[in-house]
Amino acid sequence: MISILIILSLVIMLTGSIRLSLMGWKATLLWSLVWMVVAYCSTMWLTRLSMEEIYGYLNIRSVCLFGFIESFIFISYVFYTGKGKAILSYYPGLMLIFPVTIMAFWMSRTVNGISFMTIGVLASLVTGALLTGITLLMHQHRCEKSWLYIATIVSLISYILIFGIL
Amino acid sequence: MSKVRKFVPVIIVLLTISCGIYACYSVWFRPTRILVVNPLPAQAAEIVLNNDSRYIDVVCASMEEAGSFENFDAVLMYGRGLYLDSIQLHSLDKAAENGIPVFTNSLRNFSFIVNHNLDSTQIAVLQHYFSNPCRDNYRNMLRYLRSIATPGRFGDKDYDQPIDIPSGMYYHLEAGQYFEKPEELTRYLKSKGLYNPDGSRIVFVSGVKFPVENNRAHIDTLIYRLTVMGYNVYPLTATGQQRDEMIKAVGPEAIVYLPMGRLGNDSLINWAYNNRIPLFMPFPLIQSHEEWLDVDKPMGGGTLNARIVVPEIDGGMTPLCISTQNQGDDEFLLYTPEPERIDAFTSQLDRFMKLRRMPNSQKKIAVGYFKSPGKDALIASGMEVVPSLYNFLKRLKDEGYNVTGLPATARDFERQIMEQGSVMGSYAPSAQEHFMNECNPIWIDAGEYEDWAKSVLLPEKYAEVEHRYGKAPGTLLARGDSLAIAAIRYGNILVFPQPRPALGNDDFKLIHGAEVVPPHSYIAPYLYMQKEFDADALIHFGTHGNLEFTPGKNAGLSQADWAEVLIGNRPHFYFYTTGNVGEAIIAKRRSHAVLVTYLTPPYVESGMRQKYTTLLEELHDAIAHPEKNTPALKNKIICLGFHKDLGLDSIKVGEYTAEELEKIDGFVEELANEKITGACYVMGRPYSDAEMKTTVMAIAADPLAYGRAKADYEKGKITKENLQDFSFISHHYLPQAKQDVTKALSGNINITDELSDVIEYRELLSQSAGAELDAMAEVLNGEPVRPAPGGDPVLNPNVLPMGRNMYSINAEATPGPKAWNDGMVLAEQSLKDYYSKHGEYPQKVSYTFWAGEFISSQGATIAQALRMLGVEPVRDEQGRVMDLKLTPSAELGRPRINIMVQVSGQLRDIAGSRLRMLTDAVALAADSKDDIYPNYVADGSLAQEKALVENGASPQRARELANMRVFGPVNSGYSTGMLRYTESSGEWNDRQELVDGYLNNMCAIYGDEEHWGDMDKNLFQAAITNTDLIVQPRQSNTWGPLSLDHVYEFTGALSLAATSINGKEPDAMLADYRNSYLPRLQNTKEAVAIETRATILNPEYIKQKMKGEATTAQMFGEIFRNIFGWSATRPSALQEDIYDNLYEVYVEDVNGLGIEEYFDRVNPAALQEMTATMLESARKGFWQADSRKIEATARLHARITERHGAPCTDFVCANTKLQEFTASKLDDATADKYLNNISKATAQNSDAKVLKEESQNVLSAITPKTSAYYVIGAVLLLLIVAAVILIIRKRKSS
Repeated sequence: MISILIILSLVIMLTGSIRLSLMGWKATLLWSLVWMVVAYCSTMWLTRLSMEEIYGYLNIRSVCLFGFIESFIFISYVFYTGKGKAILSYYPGLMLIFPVTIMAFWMSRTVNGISFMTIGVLASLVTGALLTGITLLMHQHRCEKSWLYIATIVSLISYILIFGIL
Repeated sequence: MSKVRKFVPVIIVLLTISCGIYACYSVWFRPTRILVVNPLPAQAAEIVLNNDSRYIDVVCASMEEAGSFENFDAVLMYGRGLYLDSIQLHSLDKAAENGIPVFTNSLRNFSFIVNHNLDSTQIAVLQHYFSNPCRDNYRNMLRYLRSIATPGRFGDKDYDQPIDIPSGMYYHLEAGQYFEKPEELTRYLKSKGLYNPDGSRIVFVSGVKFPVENNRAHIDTLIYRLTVMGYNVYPLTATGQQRDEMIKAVGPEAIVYLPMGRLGNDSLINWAYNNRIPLFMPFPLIQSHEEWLDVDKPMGGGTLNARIVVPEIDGGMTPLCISTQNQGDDEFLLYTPEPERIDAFTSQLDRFMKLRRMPNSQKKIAVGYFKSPGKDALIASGMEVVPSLYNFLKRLKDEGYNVTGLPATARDFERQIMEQGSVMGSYAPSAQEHFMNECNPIWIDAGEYEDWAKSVLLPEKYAEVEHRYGKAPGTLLARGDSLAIAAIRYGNILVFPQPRPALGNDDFKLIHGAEVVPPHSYIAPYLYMQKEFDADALIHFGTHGNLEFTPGKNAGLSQADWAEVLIGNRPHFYFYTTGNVGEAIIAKRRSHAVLVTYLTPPYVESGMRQKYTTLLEELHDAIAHPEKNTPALKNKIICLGFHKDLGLDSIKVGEYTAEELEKIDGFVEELANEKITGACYVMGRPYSDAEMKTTVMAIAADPLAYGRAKADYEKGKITKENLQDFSFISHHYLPQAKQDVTKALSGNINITDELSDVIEYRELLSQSAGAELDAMAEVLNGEPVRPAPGGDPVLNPNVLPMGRNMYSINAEATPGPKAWNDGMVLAEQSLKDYYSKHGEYPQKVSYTFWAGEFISSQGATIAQALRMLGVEPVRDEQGRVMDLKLTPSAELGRPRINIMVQVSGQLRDIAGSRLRMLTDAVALAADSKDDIYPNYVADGSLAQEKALVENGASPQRARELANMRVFGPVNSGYSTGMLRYTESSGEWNDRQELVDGYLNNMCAIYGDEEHWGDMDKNLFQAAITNTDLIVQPRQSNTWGPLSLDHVYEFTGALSLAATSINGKEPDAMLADYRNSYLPRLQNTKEAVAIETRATILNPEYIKQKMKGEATTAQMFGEIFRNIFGWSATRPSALQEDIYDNLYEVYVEDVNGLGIEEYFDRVNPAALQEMTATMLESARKGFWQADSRKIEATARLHARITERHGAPCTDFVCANTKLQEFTASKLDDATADKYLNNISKATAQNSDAKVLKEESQNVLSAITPKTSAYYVIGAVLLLLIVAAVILIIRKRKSS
């Protein structure tokens, strides 16, 4: 179970990072900041939820479904031209919320004995560092749209398989 | 010029005019705004509702909400408990600087008194208004304040001078009518046609001058109802000596007091009892109606103390809640009468008063007794029930009651009771059939029963019964449309057994404390008593039943609580052993019982001193002179088996060390001094001369010895260590003390001050034998029962004489100074002992707290736990514990030790505030900074938090619960369930099932209000983790770990759970408070060994008990079951060969005591139970006996069954596996006969199911199938392939 969550997170993280790296620097930084805030808020929220409630929210089938839809957005972005592409270029890959939440979940459960606010800050810093680091890596390797295309195909297949199995 | 610029002057002019108007308004016309700070809700209502001026605005604020004082024109503050923080004080100072008058009402010497901008005359006038609260004075006080604060304002500024309300006065329903003398009130009542010349006079005492005018709907309702019933009610309000005089001036026949503390001092109370004036003390509650009914909001703290605990000291009866406080239309909290409760109270009062006038021959009395199911005896703690009950019925006959048909002899009476007054188990349908056919039950038509039930029970309550047990008549003792109840009627006396409180698996559940409603068979006898028999009073006979432990509120019960509705509005009296004050208090509060104490069994010589005199001398010699320590001495000790009890070596070579000899000496001294009780006490039958002597010896010798030792210590003749050494005192002071007591009793010595108590104890014990019956006869004549403390007479001789109404202690004042000292000593001693044994401090000490021990030790049990944490109490001037503070680490000198506390339901009910205090102490200790020693409390909280998170709790909840350490049975429940679990031994195979049951049942949190009563098994489990030491309190000489089932129920179960969780068994100790001079710790194994040797295996003890009858014989069965319980939960506490020894004594009868003949004669079911327990122990593997012994035991068991039939007790008849096992140890013919006898009573038992927790594994809903692993592999492969493709493409492009 945990393994499936990790696989999904990695897949989404990969796709999302590639997408982020295709944006300009400013946009990338801005979105990293946004995800850091999301990480903090998620941590604070998740500290109030029991495992049972969390499993209710982090429904893997729902994640697969939304990821599936997002994959089409990415593919459209890769192949569209003109106005449509301009609109789609603003889409950063919102499914990143899933791995960010998983990170927040892990931090909220692993770190005990200190205030939740501190844990939230830690989670946001870790998230920021990870996202920035991976995006930098992609930049270094001159990531292209074709990478996004391949990553999207891989993630599509993953979503289908996992959804089907569950 | 632009348009805008044209309008500017206009705007300026308009603004100026507006400001001017506003200014004029503010200065001359605005209503005077008065802030009232810290009023009680009722006071706020009084002030606001009496403000009839539209020029005055009154705002009331609590102490916490008060602020912005400068926005008001005047400030009034109630000083009681007032505390303002720095921000509020700053605002207040600002207001004062602005000239705002501030007045603090200081009726007492409160620490916070602030008056500003008022001269002394004005202060005096305002105080005068406040000191005489009434409608006119409230109104005029506001007007007066307006005239001071805003003298320039237009509008009504007239006010009248304060009216003086007499500090003590009589009043009645009509407002404004006050009287100084009762005669004046009498004239007034006559003039209004409210006076009944034949009516009894009742003094009605409400609060102190409040409420007198308004907000008194509950008082008016009571006065009205009592007047309509024909009583002449004299309401009065006064304090102190004036109150005493005013009460006496009326010459009342009863007093009704709405309590806020005591009615008066001892002089008034004694006067009331000397003049046979009963005291009724119903109370108003400052809770809303919903809160009152909410079981999760128990009565506690100051409210419980003032309304119930303290009034009990005066012997107050009828602790019923007659009103609540609810928001009225004006949004103020007003006292709202609870009509049904007022009915209940007035009805109980009226019935009680009627007992004074009704001839005894016409009185109908219902007597409920308690009985083991099947053929086992009637039971009551320490009392031989049948002869006692018979004596009581004879006494009633002598008093003129109609007891027609009472058998001529006690023996005949017993036969009749056993036949017609039995208790049936649901596992014995054949026995039920026999009872219904042959035993003259009383038949109740189902329709009639339903009508009764619907008239008494709330519809939803009866619906619950039907939902669980089906429509009436149910399944137990039911035939067609009728229900049979066991009851015997002797003229106007109805005698009935209290039935089983639940059925089948539910029988199990109610004992667990789960909220399970009682079945029809339980409800029916009580409804019959109310509706058909129409009892004038109900008596419960002996300690104790289970009605008071049915689910519901802890105090202030309502119609929704079973105990209230089943007793109905009858005066309820309860014969209760003085030795069990903890549970007695629950009976008082939850079934409005008036207790009548009865004596414990007499203390008798155990014979241990004589048996071990020589050995003791040898030991003392060897300790004093090492050369006398020989291998022969060691051999002797080994032959006696003491080495096993003390964990010493068994090698018959060499000698024991000096330290080991000291240990053995202490053990043998304790054994020699162990106090044992004889046969159960029979009410109305005084102790024999020999019993009197041994009992007085037990009470008087220790205090005499310790008193002399203390005197010698003060003279410097002995050291402090000597004074605190039990063995030293026993050896050097006790023998002489005993001699002197003997001489005093035989008159062969001058009775000095020191010895005068000896004679007094004898007198009091002599009086006690008849005192219970006298007291009950008096209370049935409508006379009050005097209050007294409760407890073991050896520990507290003030409980003598008997026949009195026990009271508890003020929990808010605990732990008291002595209790704190005792607790500290015990805590440090336990740590010292543990450290010396293990070389390190325990990580966690787990305690069991009971109500009786809490009361008797005045909270020393709580003190122990606080001391472990390194926290100490802070007291106010009145000695109440108001706060806690950390003991500095350097002063503590050791780590702060983590704790866990399991409590009984009884303690939860009487001392809830102490449990919250313990949680606060844990939080304080966990947060301690700069400790120089490790802080195990902080470590424990962190570990607990982690464990909860790992088990799925949210981190926030885990953090909130990290400091919770106090647990108990389900809220409104009272049982761990372990007795039932353990003794239903046919239903479990693995001890882990017992652990699961225990964790399920005892995981209710009692740490703070927010989580009060929440069940959290994971938390409880985390709290038990790392328990190294378990401590159980012990404060009575009337029981020990073998004779009282609750010891294994709590300590054994906790030990088993801790062993299961931690993988190792914790040490177990008893905190022994039996000697008030020397509280000390006792190893549980040693305590069990001492009790085993001194009682159950001691021929002297057995001979004494064999002087008793059926109930006494039943106690043997109980001890055997308790031994079984220890085997199941903590076998290391028992001697290894205990079952072999029991076999020799009770099956082989090596002492030639005539065991079989005795039980055959008085209670064969008891011996069946005992042998069944041994056989079950063998079946479970607890007793590794050879087949010869098992077969002999089985033959004895079968023999008795052949002679007397199946006993139909739970242990035998509900356990088919045991029956089969027993049969397998018999020859074929005997086995057939045995099984045949059993089957005559029982049907085929359905497979009983142990309650199993449904484990909800959320993950199971989404646990992936096996193929998921293939998916994972495939996805990983895809990722790798994708990565490879990408890299290749990149290389190509570059």
